[in-house]
Amino acid sequence: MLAPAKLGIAAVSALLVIALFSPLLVFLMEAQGNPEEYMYVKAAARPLNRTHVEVTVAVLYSGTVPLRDFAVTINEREVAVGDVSRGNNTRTVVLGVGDLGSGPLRITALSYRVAGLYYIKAYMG
Amino acid sequence: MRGVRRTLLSIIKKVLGGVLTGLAYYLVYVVLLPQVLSAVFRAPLGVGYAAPFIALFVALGTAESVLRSHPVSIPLRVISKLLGALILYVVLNGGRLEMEVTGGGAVLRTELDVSPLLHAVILLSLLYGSMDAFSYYTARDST
Repeated sequence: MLAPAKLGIAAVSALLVIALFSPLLVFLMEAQGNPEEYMYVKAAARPLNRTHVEVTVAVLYSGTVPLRDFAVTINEREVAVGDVSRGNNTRTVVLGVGDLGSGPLRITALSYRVAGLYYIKAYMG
Repeated sequence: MRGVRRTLLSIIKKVLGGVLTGLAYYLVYVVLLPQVLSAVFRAPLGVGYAAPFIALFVALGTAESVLRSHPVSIPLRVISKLLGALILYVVLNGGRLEMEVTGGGAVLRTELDVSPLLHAVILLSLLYGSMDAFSYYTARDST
C-alpha cells in the first residue's frame, strides 16, 4: 500500500518539477544559443511640449517563452512595457521632462518574469 | 554461536546499508544537484564545506537503517529529507542567484529568482519524506 503511494508521489513530483522548470530551461537555452539577437531593446523620446516627452520603448524578442511584467529602466526611471511575446512589442508612455534626467537616454536595466514565474533583472554596463 | 554470528552479520549489513544511504544522500544533495544547477544557471553554486554534511547524512542513514523497526525512525526519516531541503536552500541562496551573462559584446550582471521552483522542490520532497516516514509500519509488520 505504502510503496505504490510513494512511487506515485515521486512520479507526480518529478513531472511537476519538470513542468515548472521547463519554461526557464527553454528560456536559458534559447538565450545562450543566440545571445546577440535573442532580445533587442531600444528607447526613443520625442518632446510633446515644454513639460512632457513621449517615450517609446520597443522590445524585439525572438524567444518562445512569454515574458510577463517587462520593465525597462531608462536612466533612473522605470518604464513598464507589460507582457512581451515573440516579435516586436512597443509601448509608448508620456513622462515629465524631469523624469528622465538631463543626459541622453540610456537603458540601465531590464526586468521581467519568465513565463510569469522567474524574476530576472539584468543591469547594463 | 550461529545465532550470535547471524545477529552480528545482520547488524553489519544494516550499518553498511545506512552508510551507503547516507553517502547517496550526500552525493545527490551536496555534489550532484549543485553541479547540475551550476551548469544550468552558469553561476558558482555549492556549500563550500563537505565534512559536516557527510557526517550528518551518514549518521542519519545509519540510524534510520539500524532503527528501521523502531518508532524513532519516523522523525529520523523526516530529518534527513529536511536536511536535504535545507542544503538545497543554502546552495541556491534562497532562490536568488546572481550571474554574469554576455550579450551584445558586454558582460551584464543579472539577478535571477528561482524561488518558485525551489519552494516546489522543497515542499514535494517534504511530502515524499512524510510518506517515507511511515515505512516504519511496513518494516515493523515484516519483522
